[in-house]
Amino acid sequence: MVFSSNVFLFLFLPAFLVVYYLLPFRWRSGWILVGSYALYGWWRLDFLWLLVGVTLAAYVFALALGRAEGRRRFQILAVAVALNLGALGYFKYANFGVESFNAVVTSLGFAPFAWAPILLPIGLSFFIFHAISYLVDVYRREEPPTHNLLDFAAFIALFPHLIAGPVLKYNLLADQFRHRTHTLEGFSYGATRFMTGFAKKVLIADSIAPLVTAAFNQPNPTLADSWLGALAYTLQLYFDFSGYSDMAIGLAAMMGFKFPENFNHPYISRSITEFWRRWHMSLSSWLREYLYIGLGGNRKGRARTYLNLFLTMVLGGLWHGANWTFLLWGMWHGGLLATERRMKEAGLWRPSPAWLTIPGTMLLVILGWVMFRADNVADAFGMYRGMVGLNGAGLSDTLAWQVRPSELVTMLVAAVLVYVAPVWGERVGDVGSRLLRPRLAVAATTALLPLFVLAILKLSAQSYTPFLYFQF
Amino acid sequence: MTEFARDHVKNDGQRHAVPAVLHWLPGLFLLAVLGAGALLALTSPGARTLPRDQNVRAGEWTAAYEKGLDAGVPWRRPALDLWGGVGYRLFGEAQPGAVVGRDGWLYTSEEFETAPTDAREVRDKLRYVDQVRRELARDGARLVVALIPAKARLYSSHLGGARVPASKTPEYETFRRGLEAEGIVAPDLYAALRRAAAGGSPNLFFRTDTHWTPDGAGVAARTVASRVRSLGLELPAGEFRGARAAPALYPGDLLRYLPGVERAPSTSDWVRARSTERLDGGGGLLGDEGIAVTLVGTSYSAPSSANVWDFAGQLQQALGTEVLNVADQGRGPFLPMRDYLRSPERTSTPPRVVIWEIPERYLRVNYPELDSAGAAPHARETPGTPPAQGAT
Repeated sequence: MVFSSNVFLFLFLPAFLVVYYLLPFRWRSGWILVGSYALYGWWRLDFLWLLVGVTLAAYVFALALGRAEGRRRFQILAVAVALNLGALGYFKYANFGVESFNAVVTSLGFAPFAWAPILLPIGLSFFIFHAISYLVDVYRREEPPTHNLLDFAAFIALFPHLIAGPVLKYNLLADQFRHRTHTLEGFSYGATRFMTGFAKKVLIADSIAPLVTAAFNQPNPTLADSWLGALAYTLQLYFDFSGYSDMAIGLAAMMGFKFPENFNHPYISRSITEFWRRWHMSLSSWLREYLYIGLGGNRKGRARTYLNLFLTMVLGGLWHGANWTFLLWGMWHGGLLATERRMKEAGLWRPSPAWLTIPGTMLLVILGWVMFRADNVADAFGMYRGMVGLNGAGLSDTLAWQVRPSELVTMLVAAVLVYVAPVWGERVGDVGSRLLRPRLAVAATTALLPLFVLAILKLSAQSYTPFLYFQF
Repeated sequence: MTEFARDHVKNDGQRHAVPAVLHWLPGLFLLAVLGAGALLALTSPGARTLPRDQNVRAGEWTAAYEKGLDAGVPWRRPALDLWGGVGYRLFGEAQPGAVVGRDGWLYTSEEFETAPTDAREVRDKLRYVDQVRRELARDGARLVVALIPAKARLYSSHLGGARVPASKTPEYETFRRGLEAEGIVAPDLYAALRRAAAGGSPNLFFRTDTHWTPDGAGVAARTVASRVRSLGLELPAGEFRGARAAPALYPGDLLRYLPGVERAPSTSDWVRARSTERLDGGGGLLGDEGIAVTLVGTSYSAPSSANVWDFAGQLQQALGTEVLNVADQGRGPFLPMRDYLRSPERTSTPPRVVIWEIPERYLRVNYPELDSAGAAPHARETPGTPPAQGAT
């Protein structure tokens, strides 16, 4: 069940909220668990066992970690993490591994290994990461193991972040499960975020989606085809995923939870390093805390620091999906991060004007998105060939008839929003008018309400489009 | 270490800076919308219709329920009309599936679609048609292919800003020549229709429909009949007369891609529906002269309430003989032929000529059933495949 669906908006959410607010506080974790399992089971009931199993395993291993001492603690952690990664590996990477293996053996003339493809459970990458972060926190003694299975299970399954994040640490929400306030103001804040995210997803991301598909399906994209497709995807992905994150944060706020922000205007970044402080921030935090630091961080010398940065991003790339494209995308970003760090340490990184660094960073990000979006590496390099003009310059006639004026207008609006929103958020107050900012806030919210209704109507008018991040 | 983000929870102070009205308005508005939507959804038939025979554990039941709910919510039609109207009036766009030309002309997007597999598919179709020819020849029947050119090919002048990909330009003639090279009779309907259009004929295809008009069907019928007659076959004679009904509005099938606009009378075509009757009673002296011509094809031929062009009737009139019409709609041209070859009609009414009407746009469509079954009768049956998106 996705947030942008009739069944979620008009059956699940109203029923959930009514019961949630009728129940006394002590029963609300139980209701959150029931609602979250219902939402997950709506996709496939027979995969609910996996979510329950991961939860129970993390709970039990954490209790064991709390009681153990010395080397035994590490052994318990190793087993627990291995089990989680084993589940992730089996469901997410086994198909990829077998396909890659078969590609090699068939090219050598041997018979391929027989294999029935495995279905990837939705949200697996996220709830596995939630479980691992909890276990590592307990191991590091940053968080005592919880004895409250209900709260813990509700944290792992909490439906606003269950399917596509944000990636959260248990200690961020543990206190909130014990105590949180519910106010109309907080609910309204959540409603505003939810409606904003919904409008971003349905009115912008979904409107651009057909153009992206058409451009990336071109067999020999021209300069115009490939750049149009790459720019469209750059906007689609941002509005899709940040829209989803807004909805998640908003839903959590409607239940009294405070989720961390997941995006902070990433497309105004002036370096790739800054980009990763602004894009999918919860994943970046997770990678920093549990992978980069786990690999040794910057404590083992310069060369090792660069390698750790690189490896962190490679594994982060692979986390997004079982495909060589994600691996290469991770290598691209890991290489860029390491290069930037090296340049800074060598004194080669000079402050440059925003008009140079923002487009420069965007160029690197867009090149990465092409690999991220392409179905396979060959298609991605087809796009790159197009981007440097090796397949001609003008829009190809196989794409031209599919480009709709409304998509171009939506792209323009999206681009304006990407670059106006940061100014809106940060500059308006500084410019000074104490009167202007509240009025703009009222104007923006007033505009949001009919936009939300229009987005609901558009949802019904268009065919079903899943969130992009569900595949990760 | 600053490469990666740190957790960041929005400061409460930022929220308190907003005006008081925003402390309650968005929340109450959302609740009102969700509440009203829930009431409307729950009273809709979609919410109350529970799927049957669906696997609950594998999520099939929920998917089916959700599909029914989405189709049944009472705001679906207004939503389609609103966004369809906005798309057409503001941007001159149809819903995906149709391309808007100028002067109110609409085209199915199937006539524009391309894929790297197109050339292979067209070659496969040529091979399949040749298999059918050989199969029919075993019974002594001749195959005549009526290859219908794309509407966008014939009426490219009304395309406006849209352009059919250049790679499709040679497709019609290449395929037709390929048929002729295999010894299959394939009259050049494109040339005939183009001559008629240039000669001032009324529209040969509807502006707002995928299909040809009665005039277009007439040109095609006479062209095909001329080639059939040139085969020198002796066909049972019949006397036919065509009639035209009074002018009526004809809402084309492509108007379905313009929700919110399609009911405006100004967007529809006018038509005088064509029908054909047999004057000599038929059946021969003792009612057993048989039918020597069979027509296989798509909605361009199949009898239906929308079939006002009467291709089969006009073909009978032009040939002066009865035609057995086994065309079917909604399945493209190849599956009806596969089914005909296996059907009892083939044996009960053995043809001397089989006229196979094939719209050009189906040449690139993949039909997995043909790969496994081929043209041979009684070949292994495979489950049906969804038809291409057009209305044929």
